[in-house]
Amino acid sequence: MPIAASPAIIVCVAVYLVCCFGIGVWSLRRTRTAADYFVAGRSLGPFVMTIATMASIMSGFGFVGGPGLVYEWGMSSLWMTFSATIGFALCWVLLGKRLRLLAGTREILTLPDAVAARYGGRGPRLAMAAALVLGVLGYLGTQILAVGMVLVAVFGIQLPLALLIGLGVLAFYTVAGGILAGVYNDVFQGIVMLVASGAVLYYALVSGGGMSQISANLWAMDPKFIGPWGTREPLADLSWYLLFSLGWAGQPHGITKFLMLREPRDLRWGALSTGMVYMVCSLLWMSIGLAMRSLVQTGVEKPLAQPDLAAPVFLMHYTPPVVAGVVFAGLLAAIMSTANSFLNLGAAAVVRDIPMALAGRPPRRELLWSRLVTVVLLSGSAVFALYMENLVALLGTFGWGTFAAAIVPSVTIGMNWKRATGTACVVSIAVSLALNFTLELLSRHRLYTLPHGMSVGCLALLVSLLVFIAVSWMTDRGRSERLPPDVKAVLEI
Amino acid sequence: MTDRSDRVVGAVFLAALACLIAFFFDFWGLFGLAACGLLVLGLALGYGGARNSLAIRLSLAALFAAYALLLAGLIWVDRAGGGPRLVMGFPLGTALLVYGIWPLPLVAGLLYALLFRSSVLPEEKLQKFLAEHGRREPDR
Repeated sequence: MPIAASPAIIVCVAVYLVCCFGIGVWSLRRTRTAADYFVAGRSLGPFVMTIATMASIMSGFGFVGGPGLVYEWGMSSLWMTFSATIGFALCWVLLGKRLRLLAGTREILTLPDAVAARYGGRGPRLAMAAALVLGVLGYLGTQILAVGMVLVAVFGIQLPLALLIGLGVLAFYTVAGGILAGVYNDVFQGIVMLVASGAVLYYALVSGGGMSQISANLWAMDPKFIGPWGTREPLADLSWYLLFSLGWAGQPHGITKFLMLREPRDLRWGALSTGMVYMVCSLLWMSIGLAMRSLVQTGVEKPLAQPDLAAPVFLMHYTPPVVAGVVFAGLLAAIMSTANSFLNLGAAAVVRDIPMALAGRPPRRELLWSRLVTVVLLSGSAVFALYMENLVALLGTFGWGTFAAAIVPSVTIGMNWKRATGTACVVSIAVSLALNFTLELLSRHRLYTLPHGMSVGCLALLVSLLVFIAVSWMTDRGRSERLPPDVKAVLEI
Repeated sequence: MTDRSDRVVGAVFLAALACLIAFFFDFWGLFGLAACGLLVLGLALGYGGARNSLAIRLSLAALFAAYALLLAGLIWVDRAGGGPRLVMGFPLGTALLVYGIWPLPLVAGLLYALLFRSSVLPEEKLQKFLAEHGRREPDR
């Protein structure tokens, strides 16, 4: 990444980091129990829920990787982000009231808690916790590396020092205030992201001479590029659309927010409002990529050495320093809000879910252990990101697909279908992990790639869905009639 | 237990299977149609008992029809080719994507909000649920 080192950008990012720190201090005094740490004491209102969900889902990938993909493939990658409108509707319709009501009947602090309540037994809880740990490791590694890279670009310092600053702030507010600090930082970060996206859209259109001019330039270069499918095959785009649409309901950092909601009634406008704010943020993804490609095509800008440079180069060359500073802060916000959510999920899996699955109870002094494990996870991920970059990249790429394929059948379908069984939950999670990991590994080493650009995650999701339903049909044997009354009521309401 | 969810889950199974078959034989139009079917069936499953409401049934059917029409439009534009006729800044096919497929599902979010009190989570059902199964939150 090129070095910005502009006073305005440095001030914006420094102010942003100080605000995150301040929210951590504010949350510290409000975090007294494990429920506060993992589900913010079930205190979220509808506005906080909307912005926090959007912010935790929109990671650094959306702010840097997304524009890069548009620069490289044209409209193809937009099928990923355009899925958000249906994705959030599916989340709310399929899971919103059921997860929130279930959390009101028992002590449900995590997704494996919900799975254990739904299916009973320890197997489903352990399988879900294992899937979460694997996905969290990959996601966290990539997010932490991205925090370091952005701070290197802003301050012009060495990566280890950048990691120390970025992770220091992240560690403080996550360890001190748990998800409560995370959620309120998400709100602050989400607002920064919204402002940044609106500003970038304006400057992208101005620098490219308007959308019609950008489209005309790109059409002259390659009609496919600005066509609806971009330069990839339609099946590739459609497989992304399906994976990302259904996959929203399988992203633990998004759906665990339902457990934190104060009132079930507050669900009402969430699907619409979250879809709309995510649309605004997606404008940055689309506008930078298209504008940069148009500027390169018309000879105004030199071709980029790497597609991922599209966003930073555009910000430094085509926006005023203050706007670039806000967007860099927005970028950092996108990365840190996602990292915080994953730290929380990882700590919950290690401290609560795995001990509950193996020993039947969480450790004593759960809050203290959660804070310690958060520090260990963060430090471990930093080392992992610095020294095992290849493994981090592999786990990072299969993160979304892993969660979608493992969680959509077992949680999303399972919470809406009485005949779903614990055996089906365990088998489908195992199949989804094996399929995702094997196909990603083969593809990475160029031994086998799925034809027609089909996404690995989408294939894994479809197979996992079929396995889950088929195994449930085979193993139901009347179990659906013996569900606990509260679970039955949640499924029937 | 056999309830209406069984039928919806059976349809989800068939739609997922259709996606896989379409992928293996490279019928991307069929893949797209089955994928849209899967998404609308997901919504139908989530509405549970409320999906018996006529408004929900009609809306879900309309959503699927709109998806199918937009997809057919994309296929038609793809085959017809043609020049760079721009619609609100984008070539026609891209405009169908940006102004059609992208915002269309907001209708599903709006429907959820509008039917929330009458069908999704009516107050009397919520009160009954809380009275029978609600857990008293510990004093803070």
